[in-house]
Amino acid sequence: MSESNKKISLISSEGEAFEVSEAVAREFEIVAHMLEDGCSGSSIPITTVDSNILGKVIEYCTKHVEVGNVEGNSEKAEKDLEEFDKRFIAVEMNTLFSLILAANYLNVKGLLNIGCQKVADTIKDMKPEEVRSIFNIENDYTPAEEEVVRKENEWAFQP
Amino acid sequence: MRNVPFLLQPFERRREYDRISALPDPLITEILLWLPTRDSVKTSVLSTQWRNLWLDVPGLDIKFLFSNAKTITSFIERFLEFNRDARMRKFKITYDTSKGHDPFGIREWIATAISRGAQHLDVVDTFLRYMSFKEFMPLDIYKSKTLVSLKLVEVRMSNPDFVVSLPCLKNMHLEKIMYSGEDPSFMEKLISGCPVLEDLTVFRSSDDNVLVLRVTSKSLKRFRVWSDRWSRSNSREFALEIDASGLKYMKLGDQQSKRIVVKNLRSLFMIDIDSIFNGGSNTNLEMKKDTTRDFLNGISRVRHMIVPQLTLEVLYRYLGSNIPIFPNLKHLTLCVVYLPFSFWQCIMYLNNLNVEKHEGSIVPQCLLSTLECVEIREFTGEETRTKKKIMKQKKGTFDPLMNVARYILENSLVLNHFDSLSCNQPNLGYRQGASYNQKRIFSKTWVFNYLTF
Repeated sequence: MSESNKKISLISSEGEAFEVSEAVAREFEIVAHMLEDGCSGSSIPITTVDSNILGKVIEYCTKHVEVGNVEGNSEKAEKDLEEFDKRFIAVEMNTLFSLILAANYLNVKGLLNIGCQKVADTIKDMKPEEVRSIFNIENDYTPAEEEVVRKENEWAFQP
Repeated sequence: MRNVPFLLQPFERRREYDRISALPDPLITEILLWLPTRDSVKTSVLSTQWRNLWLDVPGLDIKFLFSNAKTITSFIERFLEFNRDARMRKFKITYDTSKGHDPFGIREWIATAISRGAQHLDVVDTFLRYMSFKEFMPLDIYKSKTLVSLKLVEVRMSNPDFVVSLPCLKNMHLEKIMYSGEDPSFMEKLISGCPVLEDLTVFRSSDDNVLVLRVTSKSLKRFRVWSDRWSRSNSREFALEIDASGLKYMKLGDQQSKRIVVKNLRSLFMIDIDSIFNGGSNTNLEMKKDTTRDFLNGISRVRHMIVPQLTLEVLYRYLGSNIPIFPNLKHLTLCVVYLPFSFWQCIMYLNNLNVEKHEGSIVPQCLLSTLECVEIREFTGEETRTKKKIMKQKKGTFDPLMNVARYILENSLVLNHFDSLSCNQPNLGYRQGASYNQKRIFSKTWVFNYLTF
């Protein structure tokens, strides 16, 4: 069996096994490092990521590996991939944060980037009050303290 | 509560849970890195935990505004001072020299950003050219070990007296750069110093000192070149030479080059030719024919070609029926501006495109053999004025596109996709039942409009 056809099982926190090709598993940099360090086992436990999220991360990596293998029209392939990323990351907040944490832990840079970007897009151009309410952030400043912080960089708060 | 893994918490509590604040600080600053610095600074009032997080963001993304130049200048200086030992991944700055934004400061900041390992550098001067006080970019930008993407708009660049070395640079965007040095091979030197460059976008300016833009790169995959559409400085001989064996996509929007030479485009997959191959008044027509034919021969392996109407007309004028064969062409996109007369020229051109006359047939060979997809869409490179004109004409005139569509559908053998901008037009009343053998046309409903002529 050639390297590229080798299958690897990734085990979620619930113990569920996800069988993926080695190429997809290597998209998880953490797994790639394990493989390089001689971890020859065919199943790798991903104890901090649950099945739902692990499934999604695998879906993301699989798509990116597939597109990376396509020869030819890179322009179109890239557009398709952008579309895929956009759809993929359009999830509710809880899932989004779980994906960011998983991407960070597994070291999947592309996913981490689109996740962070998505959160940033939500914050952009919002008033602090709106950001607090979207993310359930509790304001523990006294009004006087908050005023001091605002004054420090007043330019940023000006319309 | 922050120590309890999120997934172990009861679901009801999760919904109200402040997940963003619970992220480790480096992940929060990673998120803030995607924001303009202004928005990032604003997060300082969210809660006490967020008070200073923005200060640890490894980058700046600043846009000077009319009123706040001084405040922002001192802000940037304090930020750079505070993060003296930190790495900086991104530095984006948009300013306007005419508004008194201190260009000397900007030059130093860029040098600082590069010395701190910047990967992404964007410098945009929104003020238009001809101002002698535009500051030169620091020479540091020619020797960064970390830069991955570089975007410079309307700034001045000088010729380095050392060998350019940008070993990680993948993406370079140079727009209306003021280059006043004497070495005409400046761009060549710059590109040759980027061994992994994949994307290159150049917007040439008409007062450029680089008359011959030579792009020689083995790593280059995508290349876009533009110039002002009608700025024909006939006294200056602009030229474009491309030698890129790995190039897959090329957008040619260079209107001022009289000579466009391509070499080794073995991997070219898609080309968008929005160029009129600058004729000029003193052009030798024979020479023009030769260089244009050589150019088409050089791109003849392409699989997907996008051609605006103007280009078609120019090619037709120069070459008539002597158009080279495109043996791999599978996908043709015609960008049209809805002028009926020119449409007929389009058809005439199509007749000649890839022509191999089979016993009296005037059908282009590509339609017979390779062309699988034809798209006709509105040309978007033109000014709005033209668009308005088009819309006016469109209202009252019979759509000449129908003729092109009919022609293509009638003559193609392997076509399986036909797409057109007039897909929202209702069936113009043609009756059904005309004989067509286009069994392989997977049409959207509107295609039947054409099929039922």
